[in-house]
Amino acid sequence: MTSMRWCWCRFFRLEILGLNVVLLLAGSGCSPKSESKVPSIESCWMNFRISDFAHAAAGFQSIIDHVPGGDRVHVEALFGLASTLEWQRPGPNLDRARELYQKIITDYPQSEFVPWSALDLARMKANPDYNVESDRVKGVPAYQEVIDKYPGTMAADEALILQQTLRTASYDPTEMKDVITVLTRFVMAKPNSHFAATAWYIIGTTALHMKDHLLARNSYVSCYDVDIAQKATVMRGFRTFDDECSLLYAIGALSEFKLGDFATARKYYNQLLTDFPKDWRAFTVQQAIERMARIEAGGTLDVPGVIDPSRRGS
Amino acid sequence: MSIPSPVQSSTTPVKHKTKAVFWRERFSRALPWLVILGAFTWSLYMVTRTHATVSGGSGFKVLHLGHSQLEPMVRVGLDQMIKEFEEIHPDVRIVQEVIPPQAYAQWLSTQLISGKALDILQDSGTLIPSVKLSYFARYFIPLTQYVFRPNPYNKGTELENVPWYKTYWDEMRLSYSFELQEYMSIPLSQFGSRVAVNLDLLKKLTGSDSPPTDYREFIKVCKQIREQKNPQGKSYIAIAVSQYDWGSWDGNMASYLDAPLNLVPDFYYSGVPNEYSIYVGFRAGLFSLMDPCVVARFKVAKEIADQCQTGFIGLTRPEAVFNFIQQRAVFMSCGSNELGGLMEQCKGVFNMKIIDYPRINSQDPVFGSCALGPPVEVSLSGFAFVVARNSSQPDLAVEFLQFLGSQKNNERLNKAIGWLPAVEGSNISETLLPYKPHVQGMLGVGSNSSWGKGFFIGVDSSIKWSQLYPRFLIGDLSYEEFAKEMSEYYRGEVSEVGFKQEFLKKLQGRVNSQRAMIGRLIKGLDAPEDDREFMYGMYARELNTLTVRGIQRSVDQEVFQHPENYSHEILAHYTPEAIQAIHRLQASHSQASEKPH
Repeated sequence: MTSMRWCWCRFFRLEILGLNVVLLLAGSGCSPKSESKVPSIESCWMNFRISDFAHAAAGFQSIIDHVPGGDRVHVEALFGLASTLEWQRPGPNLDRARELYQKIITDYPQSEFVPWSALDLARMKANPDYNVESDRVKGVPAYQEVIDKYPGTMAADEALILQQTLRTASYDPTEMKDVITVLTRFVMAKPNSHFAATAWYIIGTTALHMKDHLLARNSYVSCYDVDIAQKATVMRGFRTFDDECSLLYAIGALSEFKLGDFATARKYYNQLLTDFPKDWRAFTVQQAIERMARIEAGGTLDVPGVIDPSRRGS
Repeated sequence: MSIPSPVQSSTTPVKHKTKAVFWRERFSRALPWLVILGAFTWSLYMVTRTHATVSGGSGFKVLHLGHSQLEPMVRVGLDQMIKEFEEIHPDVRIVQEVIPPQAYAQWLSTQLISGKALDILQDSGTLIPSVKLSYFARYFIPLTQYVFRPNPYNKGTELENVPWYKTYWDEMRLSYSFELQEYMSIPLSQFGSRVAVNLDLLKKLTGSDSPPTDYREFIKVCKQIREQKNPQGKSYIAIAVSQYDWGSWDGNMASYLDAPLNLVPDFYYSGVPNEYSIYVGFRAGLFSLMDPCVVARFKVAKEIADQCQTGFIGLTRPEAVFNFIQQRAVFMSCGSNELGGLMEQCKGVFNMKIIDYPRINSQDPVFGSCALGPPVEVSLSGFAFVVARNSSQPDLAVEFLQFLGSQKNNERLNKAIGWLPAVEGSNISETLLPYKPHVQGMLGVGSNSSWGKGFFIGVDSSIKWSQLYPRFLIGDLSYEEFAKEMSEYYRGEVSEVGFKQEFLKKLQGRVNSQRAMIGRLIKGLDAPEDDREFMYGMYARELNTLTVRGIQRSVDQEVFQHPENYSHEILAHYTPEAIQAIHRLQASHSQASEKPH
């Protein structure tokens, strides 16, 4: 028994010794290396995308600490850290984010990140809290500042889109009328802007609320045309308008029910069937095409299963 | 080395004994080392032998594939496809590993964290979404660049030049990760539900061996079945159903009937109003639960529930299957993935047939005006696979998935397993033909808003629904009582709070969208000059999505706050302007038809 115990003790002593050697090697060999290693900006953004904010912030901070100030990566890391602090949930640090955006604007005025930082500062004024609706009163002038200070930049165009979206959500007829004017000027001046399709959509929706069905339909048609043109050129087959199928449906339905323009309705309904034959709306559209044919041949305007609210009482 | 005892040192045999002790001690000392050495040698031998077996010797490229489908035919089907792939690529060996589903998530995590994950892994649904997302980003290869190119294994078919994702009947909808803006997995099968019929029992009880396809006839046959008693004196069951699979009957036969409402509270002309529009539309008085197609949806559900066994709401799926296998019931819903097992159990006992759910005829005197077609099937593809970043052969792994996800091979794989192929144009095996999905059909507003469970607004509304709907189904409440209670709830304060809570969630959702946008912006700013315009376009697309959603949200909010302004704003209402244009159109048409040719 005694010898066995001795044997095991010796064995464990050896094992512990071996373990210590391994730990020492690992400690001396790896630790200093990993400390000195600055993460790549791509890995920091990846952490940001997957909501690993702690690692994203630490990574961006490490780049800020190790890469000289004049370097583009340094400014990008500042922007990255500001974005992380602004968008991390739970616990955004808006004050620190604001400071960092402001630092980019002040210290690196030539950087391409400046207009985007200004846009983020304006966005923070429009949306101080994401638990409530946007603040129209503060947001509209804040976005205007970006539009005025950085004309011709993509950030300024985006500021215009965000500003007009805020204004149209007021449902005030004067504001809505002005939104249509401002955005029409934008799409006329920049017909090929990446935001042109979105601008046309806002015009259409605003017109819809002003009960100008013709303008609404025509704006949606322009939205679709711009989208298709860009899809064939810069967008390499992709769309800038996210839901092209909804757009085709809206053009068809507006033409059919609000304008009685069956030819246009048929054209866009058929386009939907050609481009999105597997979409859930395909069957509804097929029914609409049949319904229009029936009406054209003298049938009634009744839509099966739908009761007109004005007749609900009777 | 041992300490001699006083007894040992005083006698002659001590010397002898000391020697024995000495050897015993030497042996004892060496024993642990011998055991360790033996175990190490044995494990080394086993590892080498296994490696030699799977690699087929040196010079082979080896791929490992892991999944959690225990069904024997899945293994057989994959083995068959592996063999064919290896014939095309003689230098490749593919090893299939099956891990029980209960342990799959833990096994996957261990594999990934250790950096030794298999090359191809099943995208199992057992992981928590947030964990799954981080795994996707850290451990798997984005497949967007592959799915946007044609699949080379579709060469010679009509899909030869079609982007891979477009060759799938659902266009790989579930493979796209919104957060990562990448396609991450490749699905290989799809799933559906149909009705299993005990033909022998049907013939015995009704005199007919032809299952009904029309709704009215089906209800009549069910009543006839329920009126008869088995040898034990108990009534036969027409439909064996449980809490688990009631949704299949409800969705395929009843809930789609309210589809005409899609043309009512659609304030932004999308064709598929969401649950918020439906709710605010209801509150604005655009429709009521007494509208004919809403009534039809619920009355049909009740008529079907009346044909099911008593207390089905509290039963589990095995209990329903038991009733069917024991020949106490004639009809039962059957998923495409469980058909093989069911056929095996019925083999030699009774003849079984799979049919589509009976449909309401458009000429039906009561429900006909609401039954414009079959329900569209919104189920999506599954049995999807991802490629690990640590794979030493990522291109080969993707190529194997391209092989499995091509038209002909996907057909062969699923034929062997007994499942439905996911690629368009693949032939479905004869037994599964009834499962061919209805790609076009009616989409009920309930299906649209909460996948067939009613108009849910907030957690509380789902509780209300789950309290009232079963009571209506078992006859505890009449439809009028059910509709009254639900309507009062939807008009009441509790649902208002629910709506506001849901609305808050939507507002908070902007944070995720905004985060995704920044991810896109950086891709644009960091892209090479040639790619910048394209990347900015992708960024603009994100802004577009955010803007459109924002506008739609504000419309719902506006209707919620001012319902009186929208009480006549239904989509399918021809305006006076439209009516005038239509009359002109009709007049020109009748003139044209009156003109002699």
